[in-house]
Amino acid sequence: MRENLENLIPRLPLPMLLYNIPSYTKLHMAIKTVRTARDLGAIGIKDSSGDLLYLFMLIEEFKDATEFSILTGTELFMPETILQGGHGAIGGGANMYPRIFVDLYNASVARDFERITFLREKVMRLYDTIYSVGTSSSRFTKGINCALSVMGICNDYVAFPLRRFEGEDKKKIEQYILEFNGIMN
Amino acid sequence: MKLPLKGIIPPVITPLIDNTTIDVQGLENLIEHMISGGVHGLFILGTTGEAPSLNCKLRKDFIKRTCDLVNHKIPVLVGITDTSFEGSLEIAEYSQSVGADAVVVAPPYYIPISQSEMMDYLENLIPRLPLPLMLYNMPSYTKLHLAIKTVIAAKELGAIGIKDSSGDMLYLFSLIEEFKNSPEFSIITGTELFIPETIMQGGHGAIAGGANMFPRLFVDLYDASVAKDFEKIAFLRNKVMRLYNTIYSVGKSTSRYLKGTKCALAALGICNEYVAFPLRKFEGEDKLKIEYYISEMKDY
Repeated sequence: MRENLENLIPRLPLPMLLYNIPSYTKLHMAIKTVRTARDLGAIGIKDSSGDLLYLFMLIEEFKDATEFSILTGTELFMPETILQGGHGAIGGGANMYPRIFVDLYNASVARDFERITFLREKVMRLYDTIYSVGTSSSRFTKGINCALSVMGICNDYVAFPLRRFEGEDKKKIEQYILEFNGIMN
Repeated sequence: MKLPLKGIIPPVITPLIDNTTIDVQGLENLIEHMISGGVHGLFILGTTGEAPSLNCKLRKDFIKRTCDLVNHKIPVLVGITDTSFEGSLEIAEYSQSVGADAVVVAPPYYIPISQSEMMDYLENLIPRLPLPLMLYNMPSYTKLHLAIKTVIAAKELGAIGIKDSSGDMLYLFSLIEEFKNSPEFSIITGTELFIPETIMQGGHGAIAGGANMFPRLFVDLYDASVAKDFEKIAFLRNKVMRLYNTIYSVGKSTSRYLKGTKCALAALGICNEYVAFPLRKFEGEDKLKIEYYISEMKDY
């Protein structure tokens, strides 16, 4: 991976953000690999390992590299990421409810713990509903696409090899979105 | 194409000069080398062919050149595994248009999917393919170990066989048992060391990477297995074991088998050893080791 980055980064026409997603790529990037990427010019890392200890190790490792972003891909970890010195979140839920996530980010920056608790409960509610329909490991993606269509924002089609929610699954999402009216926005 | 597919079907390495250039002369040498070694078919653009590392244009160029060189002397199977559904269809259609005989598909390898999602994917894919399909089980690369019921679904949809590279002999025997009454459905091992067991248990052949280098050795091992000539099997398998202990054992990267095979082909004067990103060819000490091993294998 380090060798690949050594060859790739100098040829890229734009700044690069590294992406750690071991459950999809089979490689959990070692801290030393991230350091190599940064030395080659990477501007940050998105971590979707779901491993909070690893995320904190990244923040610790790069605490003096003020222009290198540590972004979590696990939206539930947003307060911990920000409070610990990280920079942000790539939170899929913001497709549906951008304001909640922006508010949670702002509350984390302001260290407004009461507000953090209040907003995080809303995010937890997304995990327990929209993200928990069925058993497929891609239920998060299918749930968001389905929810966006229920909200009238866009179509719910999911590309192969996945399929969109239909029937009972779709009804569940519709019910959840209905319940969220006035709560989430 | 005669069914079931059987025999030694090498997973052809892709001879390259650099990341976007085919070693044209090397490809010609390699195909001539394997056909004259008696192989029964070719499987191009699989794992050993580094397909996921190659762009679409190069893959098409490679399919066309291979089909032209083979000129229907033996079946050509083309790997169409892709994360994109349309990407797989595009390569399948192109393969058909230039005279390939079948396509091979492993699960789309980025998003983790379940057995039922894989079955649904095959239900949509197989009816749209212009060529017969062979299934490819490669769990260490794709993250999905195809359940027997998924293989049954594929067969009912028209698949002509399965290549199993799980390395799990119990699973391979389960496949042979499951499909013993389907004489046209091929059970092919991707683990070259298992050729005798596969054939004697009722399987059909092997997609054996070592046949890029030593096609005759693997064809002989296949023939000895069909003939149940145990003395000859033991003699030939010792030679295959020697490949594992030498060419396939340089360094510790997961892809040392591929790097070793390409480096050995260069040492044999057949083709260039370039390996596409994200891998790199053997250099220095590693290369010297392979050259030494090849010099010791004159009797292969």
